[in-house]
Amino acid sequence: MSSLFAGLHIGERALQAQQFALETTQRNITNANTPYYSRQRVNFIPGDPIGFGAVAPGGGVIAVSADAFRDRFIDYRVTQELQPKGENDAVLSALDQVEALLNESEGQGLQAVLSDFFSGFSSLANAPEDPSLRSQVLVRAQDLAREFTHVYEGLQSIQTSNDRAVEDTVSEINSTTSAIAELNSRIAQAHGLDSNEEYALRDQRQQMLDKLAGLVDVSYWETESGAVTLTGAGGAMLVVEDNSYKMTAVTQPGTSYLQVLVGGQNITSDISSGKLGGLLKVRDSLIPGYLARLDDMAASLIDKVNTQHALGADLAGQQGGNFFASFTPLIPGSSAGAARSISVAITDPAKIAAAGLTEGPGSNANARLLAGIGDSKILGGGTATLEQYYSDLVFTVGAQARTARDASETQGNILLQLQNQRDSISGVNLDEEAVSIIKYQKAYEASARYITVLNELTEEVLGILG
Amino acid sequence: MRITQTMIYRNLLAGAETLRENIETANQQVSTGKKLNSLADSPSGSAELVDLRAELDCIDQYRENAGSGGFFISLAESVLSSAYNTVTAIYTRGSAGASSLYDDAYRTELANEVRSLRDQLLSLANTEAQGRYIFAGSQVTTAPFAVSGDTVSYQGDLVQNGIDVDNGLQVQQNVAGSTVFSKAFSTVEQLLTALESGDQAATQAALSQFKDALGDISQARAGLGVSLAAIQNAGTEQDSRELAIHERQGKIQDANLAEAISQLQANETALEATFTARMVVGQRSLFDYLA
Repeated sequence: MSSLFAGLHIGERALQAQQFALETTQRNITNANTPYYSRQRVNFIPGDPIGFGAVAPGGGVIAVSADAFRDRFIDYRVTQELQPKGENDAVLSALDQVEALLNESEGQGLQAVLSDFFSGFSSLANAPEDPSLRSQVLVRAQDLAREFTHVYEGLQSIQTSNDRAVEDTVSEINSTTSAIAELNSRIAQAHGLDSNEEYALRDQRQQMLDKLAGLVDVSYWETESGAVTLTGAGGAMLVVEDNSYKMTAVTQPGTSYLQVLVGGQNITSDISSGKLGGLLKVRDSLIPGYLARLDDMAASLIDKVNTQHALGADLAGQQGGNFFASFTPLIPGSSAGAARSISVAITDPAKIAAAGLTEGPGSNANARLLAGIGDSKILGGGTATLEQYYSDLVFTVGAQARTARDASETQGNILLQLQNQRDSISGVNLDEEAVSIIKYQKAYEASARYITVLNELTEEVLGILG
Repeated sequence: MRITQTMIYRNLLAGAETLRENIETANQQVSTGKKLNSLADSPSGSAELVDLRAELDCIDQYRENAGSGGFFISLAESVLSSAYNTVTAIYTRGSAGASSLYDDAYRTELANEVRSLRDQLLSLANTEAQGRYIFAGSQVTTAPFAVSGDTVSYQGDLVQNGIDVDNGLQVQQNVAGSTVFSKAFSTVEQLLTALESGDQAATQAALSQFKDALGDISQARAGLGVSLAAIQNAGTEQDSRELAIHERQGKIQDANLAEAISQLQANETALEATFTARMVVGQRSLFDYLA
């Protein structure tokens, strides 16, 4: 020890260092439950020795900085799991609505009205001249047409509500990317200082990245400036340094639904995950598939029933006219729109052509053949009856919901594990902090004691002199 | 692994959530009695249920056909049985008329009796039920047989309706009146003419026709009997098929209640235990022991 006053200086440094460490511990404790907070640890280094020679005294301690604990690899993996989870959750929520619409778990859906419709003809065959049986056929045909339209329009309205959600999600994505760009610029300014400010900003940015990953495809990497560069679906740039590139949801010529554009480039078909990916999948792929099936069913039904109906005679012996209003496809050869527009053309029950041509009102030949359409394989290239084709649709909806549900559950479990791993590294453990407090407090007390001793020594020296 | 505050609470929450979901699932199974509460629970099971319901609907319809079509068949069968007896009675009167023991006055009396029996037969042949003449072929709204003098003519047609009473099984629902009664009516007409003209040889000739007339009626009855038997067989077969379908439905959708209830209890207990454990463990940290 070269001088008593130099010793006092060492003691002061020690007090400052322990105080800084205590402050850091306090920050850790207060943020123990703050999501995305990364715990910090103080780095102490020994101070430069004071003076020269073999007995040069130590220079005390310096608390240079606090490090934040963060594993970037785990952070990245979390964002990779959040993307498909966002997609599956959006799909699942739409399929729940589809399922409610089909209403097959209650057994009151399209199958029931289809069965009733064909049963109506079969019952009519028992007494073809009976006016009440004839009326029953028409009522059931109207029920069937109504149910087709009901399911079809219900599916379309799910499609439309997903379309509206596309717009909302795009604006959520934009506000998130612009927040990330803003944070990028602030992090770049604070970068390299190892300051609390930088850590706090990084924590916030990670939270935004996770949020974005739940919404849309994204991959990112950090540049030298500390900023992250974000690319989205189709390689579109979303954030570069402090610039964010807005997505827009607009109607394009030739499409009835919103398309997603970045920098004038249509990336709709490239978007495959996150909530937006799920919404688009439901809107552009799943529901159109269901609608096409319903259209196929309705178009075949109209065609076969009308054809058969024209081969019979009504109560007055006249050849049967159109039973259902004939369907004219918008695109030749396509069945699009058949299920929505299907309607019963006949209003007079006497016009139902139950009899064979040239036979009397008691003939049931044509009623039986009409009833038989329910059993004939008129769909899927002659492989399925209407009912089988429909039960296959029920299977498809169920299987797609099941896949989304299982995947979402698995991703949820993986996320839980990843978040635990992340917390294991970045999170705060109160026991540790308690130990730190004791450690720094004791060091502080000891340093204070050291200063007291020095003070006494100084007093003593002054006493000798006095 | 280093355990931190947020992990403790996240895991607590995740564990409790899983248990709550299990409880909800079990609870739903107990309250609905079904283990299939959404299509996603079993996509193939759901689709099969749709198929099975359609099959049951089919069976119901076959039963309805058998009931309503069967009504006309049994009615026709019993009418034909009466018709057979009536024609036999006419034959008995005719045989008396062929005998040389009786005089013309008695023959006229016999002829009147025969005519009244013929009218009975006519009324049987024109049987109407639920608004339809059952022996008129497809011309069900007009009485099929009309009499003019002693000549009875058929105004119906030869259309025979089938009805579907099971998969690929159709039975004949009606017999056209002309194939059953024409021979009988023309024979009776011949007999009346012979009786009233006192021509014994002609009477004999007319009587010899009765065998064929009765044969037509018997044959029609036999055809209807075949239909009735087929309906009955199909019905028995459908009963056992229905039972099998119900069993299959049960297998797909019915919850095992005992299992669901024990699941419910097990999960409730686990949830309680989780919370109790957390009361003991999660609340403590070193801070509790620092003076």
